[in-house]
Amino acid sequence: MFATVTADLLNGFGLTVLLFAVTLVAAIPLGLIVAFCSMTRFIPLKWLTKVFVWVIRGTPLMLQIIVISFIPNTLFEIPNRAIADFFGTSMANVNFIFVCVAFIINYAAYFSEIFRGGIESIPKGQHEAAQVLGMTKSQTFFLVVLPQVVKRIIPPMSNEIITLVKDTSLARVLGVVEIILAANQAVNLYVVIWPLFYAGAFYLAFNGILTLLFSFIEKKLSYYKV
Amino acid sequence: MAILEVKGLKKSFGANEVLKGIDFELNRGEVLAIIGSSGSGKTTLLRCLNFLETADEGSITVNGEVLFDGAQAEKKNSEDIRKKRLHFGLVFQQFNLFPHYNAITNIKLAAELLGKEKSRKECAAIDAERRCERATLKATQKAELAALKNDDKLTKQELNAAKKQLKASHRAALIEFDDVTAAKKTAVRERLFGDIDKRAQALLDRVGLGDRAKAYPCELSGGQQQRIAIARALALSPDILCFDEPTSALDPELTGEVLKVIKGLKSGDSTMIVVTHEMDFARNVADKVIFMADGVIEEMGSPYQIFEAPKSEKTKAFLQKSREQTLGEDIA
Ligand SMILES: Nc1ncnc2c1ncn2[C@@H]1O[C@H](COP(=O)(O)OP(=O)(O)OP(=O)(O)O)[C@@H](O)[C@H]1O
Ligand SMILES: [Mg+2]
Repeated sequence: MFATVTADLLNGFGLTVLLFAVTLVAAIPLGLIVAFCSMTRFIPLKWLTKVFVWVIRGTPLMLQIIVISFIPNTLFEIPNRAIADFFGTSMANVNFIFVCVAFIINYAAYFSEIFRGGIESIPKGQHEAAQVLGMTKSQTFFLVVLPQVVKRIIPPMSNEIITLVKDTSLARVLGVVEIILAANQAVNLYVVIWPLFYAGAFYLAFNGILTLLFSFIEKKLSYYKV
Repeated sequence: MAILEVKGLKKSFGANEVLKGIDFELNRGEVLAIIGSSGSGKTTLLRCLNFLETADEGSITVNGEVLFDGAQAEKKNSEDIRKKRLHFGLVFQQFNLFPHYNAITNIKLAAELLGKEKSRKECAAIDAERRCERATLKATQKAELAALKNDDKLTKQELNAAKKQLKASHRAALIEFDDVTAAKKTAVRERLFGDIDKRAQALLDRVGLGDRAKAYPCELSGGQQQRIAIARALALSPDILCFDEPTSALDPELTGEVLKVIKGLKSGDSTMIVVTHEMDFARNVADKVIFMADGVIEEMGSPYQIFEAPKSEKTKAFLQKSREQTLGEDIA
């Protein structure tokens, strides 16, 4: 029993990690773009972005996942089944994609606020010093501002990323068998409770590694103070 | 001829007219001290010179080149402004060093970037020029080969041998040509970058911090940071170096070392504008002193004229007040 449960949980954990990685890789650049949009001098875009961030941060991620899964059918009258058939894949995969999209949008909104705060926290004097030294706008951003932003946003980003690890459990609302749903199924099947604690151990281990990674990065960047 | 001419410079922030027409000239190698009470527009004047603010009216001329003319409604091309800005250097009250770079990198960063930009341009020019020459060379070689082929006095064997020889010499010629091109580019890079490290180190020595090249700003005292900031501004060899109250953010015991460095620059032929509250410094180091009040130059002249024989009542009152303050500080 232990071996089969372990195999099931590992499968679920695979999906958890995949969702985590896809979200991280896509939401960071997207979040940077959203951050720039929310700081632009082009007022309509700025306000549009602010409303977007407000809506995304103001509603539960679970709701967003469900809404996104309904969009093709209600807006374009394309049943999800048809999408699966068109790409020659299973419904489970299509649902996983929906979950990924919802996660990416949601986390891009959260990250964008962290990036914006970070960028705006760099004193005006830094920009001006770079300007009077004849640096271009992009040189100023990439060589002067961004390195300092990275250092400043490590603590809030690590919080957000650890939350992301735990949020992946929401994928189950579309039937994605991530690790908790896998554990839950094992609980029902074998009428034992320990698979849930077992799943918890996976989270602890994963977050433990992330925490170590972040403190390593923080230490690496501690050679200067901002 | 004056290195800097400022004429009728005006600047408002909304309804608040901060500069109400500033006129002055500065000769090469001169040190100008600007004094005046808080809010009189000294910082704004320096910021206009450095294009951190755009003046509303008036003109700024450096070395006969008009950098700014309010009469011409010119488009604010940032690339243009970036070039013009390089005539000036600015040392800030708050130093504004880049905290994530060590002292020497702070000093050479901008010079390196400008060097890269220049070398990219020059190398592209070399490439373009040499590409044409190379095409000509290749065409000549082709013609030579064709001429050989048309030579019917040769037997087939002789022809092949001659062809082989010619081709080999052509190849060698092309390789040599490319080597020369590469050498030219290396020479450009050498000229633009070769001594950047040495120059940065020399600047560090000049501000008395030769042994702190690898130190980060957070590891340096305020006075040391400001000296690095001065070296950083000098690295681009601006025509005119501006200081905005370079010692105001420093503890009193640290002002001396910074003022000494600035004084030391005077012996070189740097042209400088120093906004300062250090009256002794203005009196002893400046060639020319401007007293500003409410956005105008209230009085301008030699240190003697301003400090020993001021004409304007406002100047007298200001000097009196600052004397009392210094006295107060000395007693305290
Ligand atoms: N960016 C700005 N926007 C609006 N008002 C400004 C701005 N910068 C300066 N001012 C105003 O311009 C006036 C002159 O300021 P400025 O900083 O040039 O004075 P200063 O002579 O340098 O004074 P201090 O000795 O205190 O440094 C002040 O009234 C200030 O409020
Ligand atoms: Mg000022």
